[in-house]
Amino acid sequence: MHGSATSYCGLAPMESGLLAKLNIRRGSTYERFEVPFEAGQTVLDGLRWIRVHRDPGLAIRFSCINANACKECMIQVDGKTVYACTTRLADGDMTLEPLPNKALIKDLVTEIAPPDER
Amino acid sequence: MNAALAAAQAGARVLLVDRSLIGRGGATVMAQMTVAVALGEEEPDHWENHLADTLKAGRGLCDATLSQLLCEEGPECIREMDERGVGWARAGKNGDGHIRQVHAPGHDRRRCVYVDFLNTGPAVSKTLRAAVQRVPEIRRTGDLLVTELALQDGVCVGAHAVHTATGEAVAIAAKATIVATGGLTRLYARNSASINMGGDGYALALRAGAELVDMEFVQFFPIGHLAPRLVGMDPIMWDPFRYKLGGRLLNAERREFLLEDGRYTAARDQATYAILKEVAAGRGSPHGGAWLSFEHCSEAELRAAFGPVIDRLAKNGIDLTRQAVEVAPIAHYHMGGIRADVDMRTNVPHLFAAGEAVGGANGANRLSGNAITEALVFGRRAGRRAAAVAATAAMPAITGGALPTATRPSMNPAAEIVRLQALMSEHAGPLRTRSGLQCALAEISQLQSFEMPVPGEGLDPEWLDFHDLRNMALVGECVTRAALERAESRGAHQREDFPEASDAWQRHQLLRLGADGVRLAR
Repeated sequence: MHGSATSYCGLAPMESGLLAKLNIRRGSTYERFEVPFEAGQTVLDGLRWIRVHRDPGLAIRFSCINANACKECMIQVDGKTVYACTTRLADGDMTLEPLPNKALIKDLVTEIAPPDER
Repeated sequence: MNAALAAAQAGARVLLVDRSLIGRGGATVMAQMTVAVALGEEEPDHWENHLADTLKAGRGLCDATLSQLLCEEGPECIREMDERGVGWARAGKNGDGHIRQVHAPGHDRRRCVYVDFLNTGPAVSKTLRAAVQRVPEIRRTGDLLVTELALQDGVCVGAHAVHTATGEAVAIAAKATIVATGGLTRLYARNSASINMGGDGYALALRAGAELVDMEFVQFFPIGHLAPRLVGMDPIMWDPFRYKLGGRLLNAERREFLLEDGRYTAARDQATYAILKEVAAGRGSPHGGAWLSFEHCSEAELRAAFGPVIDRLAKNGIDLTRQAVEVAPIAHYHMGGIRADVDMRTNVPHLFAAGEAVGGANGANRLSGNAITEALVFGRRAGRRAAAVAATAAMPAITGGALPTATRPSMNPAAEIVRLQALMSEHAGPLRTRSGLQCALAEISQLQSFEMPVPGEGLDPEWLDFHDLRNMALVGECVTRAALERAESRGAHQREDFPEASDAWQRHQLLRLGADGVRLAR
């Protein structure tokens, strides 16, 4: 839009040559996706790119996209609990898993609602 | 949430439903700027002054009864939030003075309250979340996606929903129903709202027989962040920087093209138009926007005004004393919406609307700071009136919602949503032409040519995208049809082929869904 080089998901055209290799836990197995990105982009950008370009069935929970206001996109990246929207993509392997201490709903989505809001 | 609180206070039992987590999505949680309200704490003020500014900003198209409700009851609702502990910024060293009010564009005086730092919306959401949690009459249920409103003899009797985590159909019987689903900014590629702002409530209301009004008026916030890439910050964050520190909006020649002289004065529609015209003339910033510079401010000034935010910027590699950032218009708010009267009643009995979902209060261009005021005031009014209806109505019996049965179309709905967003941005965004809008309508019609498939077992994100695509395409059609018909330029609706405002067009357009599709009326 408006001649912006920034396209959907804030993912620019693939000029950087950077490639994140995301190993995503889906149930009992891991699936690997290669995601081209520009420096500065986030794990959530990468997950949204996968849904648009590879597999719309990939389940992730998020709401505010970039502001870190909703706190919905909490997952584990390389064993550490983080927000997908503030964690930058890395040029190389990254392992993405759902929160280990919450009931799994699907893929990276866990039951994080307070018990009286279910 | 304010509607739920008001309804419960008026004696109703309330079910508060959200498609994801309660009070985490929507627009309020994202708002980092100010809330306009004639409190008169900073200098004398009266709601009539606020109303005059609101009507002026609306370019002659406000529904004045709704605007008056917003301005007149705003102070009460803002003080109610103060009592609930929202934490409006206060004067005085210990923060124990009067509530601070700052000047924002389009206001004739210092009228806008806020919560530091860049925390207005999150604080409002959190305060309301805590408030609803304390009321036992409010049952809260997340992960429940409403797919249709339920009707009996033309009366709204609740809703049909899908529990997203399991894919199960859920029927919700209700004596009165309030749609408070916010706006439609997700229809645009660059937007400042949560993922659930795809116009769900408009689509639900339209299919239930309600009228929509002013659908062509989509507000673009002129200085949404464009580059360099920021994370953990909302793209509308530069608004508070500008109302506190001024800042200079510059073109590629480093010239202030809005003649603001370092102050923050230009209205949103005018600033958006001016930036896009600079870009079209080849004087845009490298990524296709304008430069916003605070290089004239010292480190100490910046830190005094924004404290920890300066550290968050540093983490993103940005030092405002040494560099300008790039900004560009970003879809931010929808002036149009469900047609409601001053009691928030739609034309469907027992169906109410609240907040941004209501159209008309802000005319062709919303005054800065009116959105949260509107959310609180309209929510309270809708809650009270819905409770009054519920007090005398019998509980309807509705049968289980029929899930769709079609087989799954062979398309990626997530990719089609992106296509729709690109289409709306290009042809039905801040600059419009007849040919562009016609092109958009033709493509939108293609995106509507599928039947809703049956949901899978368990969480089915692809099915959710089909749901969103269906609603977004219907609402996109409403925006585009109304924009095509309005042969003038007014506020947020700018037609390149009709650059002037026309007196003959100082009127609203209504939309209804008939057997043959979306119909326009005046």
